[in-house]
Amino acid sequence: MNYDARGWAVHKDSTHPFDTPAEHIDNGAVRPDPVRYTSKSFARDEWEKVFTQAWLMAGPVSDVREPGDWMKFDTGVESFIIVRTDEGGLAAHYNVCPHRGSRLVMGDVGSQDAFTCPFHSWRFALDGKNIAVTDPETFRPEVLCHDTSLTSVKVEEAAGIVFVSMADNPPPLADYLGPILPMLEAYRMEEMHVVQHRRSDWAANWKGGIDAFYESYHLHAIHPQTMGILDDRTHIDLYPGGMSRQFVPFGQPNSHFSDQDGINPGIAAMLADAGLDPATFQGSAQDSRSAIAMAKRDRSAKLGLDYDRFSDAQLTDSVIFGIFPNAQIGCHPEAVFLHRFKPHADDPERFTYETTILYRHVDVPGYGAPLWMGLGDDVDLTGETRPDVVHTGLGEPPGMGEVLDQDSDLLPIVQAGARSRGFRGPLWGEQEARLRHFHVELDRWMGR
Amino acid sequence: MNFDFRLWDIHVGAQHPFYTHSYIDNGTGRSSPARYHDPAFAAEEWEKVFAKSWLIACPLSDIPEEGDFARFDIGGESFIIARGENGAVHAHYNVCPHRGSRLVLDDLGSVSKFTCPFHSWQFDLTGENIAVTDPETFRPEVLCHDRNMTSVRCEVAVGLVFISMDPDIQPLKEWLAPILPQLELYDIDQMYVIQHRRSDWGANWKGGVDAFAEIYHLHAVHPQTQCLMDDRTQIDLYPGGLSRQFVPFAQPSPRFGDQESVNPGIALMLKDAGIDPATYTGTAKETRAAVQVAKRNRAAQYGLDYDKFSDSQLSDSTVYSVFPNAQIGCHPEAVFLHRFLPHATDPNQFTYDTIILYKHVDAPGYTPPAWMGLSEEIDTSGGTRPDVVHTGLGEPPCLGEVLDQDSDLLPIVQAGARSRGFRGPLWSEQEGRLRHFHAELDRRMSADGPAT
Repeated sequence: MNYDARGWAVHKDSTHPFDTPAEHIDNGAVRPDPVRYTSKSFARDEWEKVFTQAWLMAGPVSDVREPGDWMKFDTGVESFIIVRTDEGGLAAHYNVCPHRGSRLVMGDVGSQDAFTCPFHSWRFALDGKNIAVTDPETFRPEVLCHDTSLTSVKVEEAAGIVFVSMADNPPPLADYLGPILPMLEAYRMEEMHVVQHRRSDWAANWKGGIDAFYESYHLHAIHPQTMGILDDRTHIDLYPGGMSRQFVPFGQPNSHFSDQDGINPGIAAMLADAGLDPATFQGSAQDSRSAIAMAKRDRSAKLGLDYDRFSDAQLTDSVIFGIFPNAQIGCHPEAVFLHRFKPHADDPERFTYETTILYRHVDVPGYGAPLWMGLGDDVDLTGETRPDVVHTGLGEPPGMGEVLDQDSDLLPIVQAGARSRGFRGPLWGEQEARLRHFHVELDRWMGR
Repeated sequence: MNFDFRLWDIHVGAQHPFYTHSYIDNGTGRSSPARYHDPAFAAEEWEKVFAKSWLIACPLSDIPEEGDFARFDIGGESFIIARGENGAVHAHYNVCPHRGSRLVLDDLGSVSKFTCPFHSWQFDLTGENIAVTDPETFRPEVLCHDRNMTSVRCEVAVGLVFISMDPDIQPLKEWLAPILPQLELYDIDQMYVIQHRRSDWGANWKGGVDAFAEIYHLHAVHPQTQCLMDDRTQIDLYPGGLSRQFVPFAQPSPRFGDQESVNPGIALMLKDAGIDPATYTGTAKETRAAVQVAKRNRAAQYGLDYDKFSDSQLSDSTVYSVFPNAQIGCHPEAVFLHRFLPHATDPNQFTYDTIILYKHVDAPGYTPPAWMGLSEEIDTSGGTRPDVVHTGLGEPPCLGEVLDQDSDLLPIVQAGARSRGFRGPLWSEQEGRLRHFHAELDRRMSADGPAT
C-alpha cells in the first residue's frame, strides 16, 4: 500500500487543470546497488549510454537570440558551442578544432560572425563549415580531404530552453519532454533573461546532486531555517521517460515546525513580498499561502501579467520539474531556476552544479524579484547586461545563499558514506519518489 | 604532391652540406586521438616505447666528479645517474632492494655511497650492496636474493647521458647516428647548465611534443614573435623518429606587415650580434644575413671555431627531435634541452623539463644572446649549478612569455583532443615532424617483440 501524498491536500479545492495529478507510476521498492555513485566503470557506461544519447539542457534561448550569439555548454569531458546562425536557426558543434583538437571558444557566452581557432587560426562559419585553413598549400590534398569542418550535434529549443544531443538519431525534443513540455511553456521562459549564473564544483556524484534537489524530505534537518515558510507536505507527479514534477508549498510552515499559526518573520516577509502588510494581516500562518496567491492575482490584474494561466499553487509554490537525465527547473511566475548536475570528466565523485536564474522583466515601478530569491541590489533585472558566470572550485563555499551552501556542505558527507562497503543501497520514502523514478529510468537506459 | 620546402629557400647564400634535405614519406592518414587521453594506450606506450627507448637523463656536466649523481624522474620511475671511478657513468633505479624506498630525493648531489633513508642499507656508486643493517637478523636465504640496486643501460653521446630500461637495446650511437655528427658540432660536452626549469602541464606529453615540433602556430599563439622569427622553415626527417627543423631568426615572418623597418625585436637581435641598430642601414629582411656576418667576425676575434657552422646555424634555431620525448634547440652559444615527461598515471598530464646549456667564453663583452631571456643573476661562468625550479599544475611556469603562452594553450588543446567530436589530427607539411614522430610511435606500439 503506497502512501497517498494527496492526503496532504497541496491542491485543496483546486479545479485548475495544471494541478491535475499524473497517473500513478509504480517504481517498486527495490534497493539499488550504490556502486552507481562511486564506480568509474559505471560512470563510463553511464556517459556512453545516457549522456551521449539523451537530450541535455544547454542553456536559455535568451543567451542566443541574435545571429552570431553563442554560448558554451560544458558537460563531462565535452564542450559544445551553441550558436544562432545567420538564417535564425540554431546550430551546435563540439567545441573542437578538427585540425589538432584545440577548443575554439573559452568564454561562456559571446557574439561573433565566425570562430577562429586560437592554435593555428583556422576559421569556421557559424554553421560549422570550414572557411579558412591557414597556409592550405602546406597540406597534402589527401589530408584536407578528411573533413575539415566542425563536428556538429543535434540541437533543438523548447519552452525557451536549448537542448543538445550527441545521439545520431534522438527522438524529437517535444516527444522526449512529453507531458511536461506544455506545463513548462506556461512560464514563457523565452521572454526571460539571465540575471544570475553560478557554477560550483562539488565533491559528490552528479546523481547525489539530483537526489538532494529532487526531494524536500531533508528540509527539516539540513535547512531548518526554512521550516517557518516552506512546507514539506508536497505533491509529486511522475511522468514517462524519467520526467517528474513536485510542488513545494511556499508561505506556510513545514510539518515539523511547531507553531503552525503564528505569523513568523519568514511568513511576514513573504506577505510583504506579495504586497500584503503583515501588521494588518488577519489570518494565521496556515492562511498566508492562499492570501499570497490572491494578492498576486490582484497585482497581475493591475499590471496585466496574465496570471490566469496559472493555478494558485503555481503562483505561490515552487513548481519543480525534473528533466532526465540531469536537469531540474524550479518555476515561479516571476522567474525560473535552471539547475544542472554535470558529471565530472573523469571522477565519479565530483560534479559541477550549475544554476541559472531566468527573470521576466516587468517595467512597472514597485515590481521586482521576490526577496527570497536573494538577488542583490547590484543585479540588473532589466536584462540589459548578461551577468558573468561565477565559478567556485571544489571545497570553496559556493556563496549561493544559505540553503545551497548547506547542501554543498552536506553532499560530500553523503558521498563519503555512499562509498562505504557498509552502505547497502538507498531506502527511498514516497517523499523521495522522484529519486526512485529517476533511478529506474537510469537503469532502463543502462540496460540498453 | 608534397609541399616543397626548398621553395621557401630559407638558407642565405651558398649551399652548405649541413642543409642536405632528408625526407621520409609518412602518408596522409589521420591518427586515432585515443593516443592523447586513453589510460590503456598510455600504459602500453610506457611498456613499448619508454621502457624500450634511449631516454635523455642528464647532461654529463651535472656529474663531473666521482661521487656526483643526478636524479632523473620519468613516468612512474626514478633513476640515479652516478659518476663512478675513472670517469665511468652508472645508472640505477632509484629504489632500495630491501623494501623499495627511494634512495635519493635531491635533483643533484655528491656522495661516496648511497644510504637508504628507511633502514640505512648502503650501496656503492656501481649499485653494489656494501652494507645490510643487522644482517644477522635476516635468514641467509633471504639475503641470497639479489640485494644490489637494479641497474639500467647507460651511455653517453654529445655530452648527454642517456639511459634505457631495455637491457638489449642497440648501442646509443648506432641509434642516434643520423643526427649524431650534426649534434656533435655544438660541443655540448663543453657546456653546463645555467637554467633548469620544470613545470607540470595539463596535457598529454605528446601534446607537448606536438606543440614544440612545429612553428605553424607562431602567428596565432605567439604573435609577438612574428617581427623577428620567420615561419618559413626547412624540415628534415630521419629514420627512428628523429628529425630537425630550422627556425630562421632575425627576419620577419611573411605574415608580418612591415618587412623593411628595423622593428624593436630585430634591433635587439642586431645588438646581440654586436651591430649598432642606430647605424645599421639594411632592412629587416637583410638582418639575418648581417647577423650571420657579424657572428663570423666576432668568432674570428674571440677565437671561436664557427667555420664548422653554416650561416643558418649561426642565426637560426636548429631544432632536433630525439625520439621519443626530447628536443634540442641548438645555437652556437647555447642549447635548449626540452623533455616531455609522461605522468605516472594520468595521460592528461605531463611534466615539461627545460634546461639551458651554455658554453662559457671568457672574453670581455661576450654574453649570452638577450633573446634567451637569462636574468642578470644567472652565473654564466659555470661556477654554480642552478637549482631546478618546479611549478605545479595550473601555476604560471614563468618560463618567459612564449612558453607561458604554450602552457596556457596546451590544456585547451588537450580538452578538445579528448572529445568524441575530434576525429584525429590533420597534419600539414609544416607539421611533418609531428607525423614523423607519431608514425614511429605507431611502429613501436604495433611491435610485438622488443623494439629495436
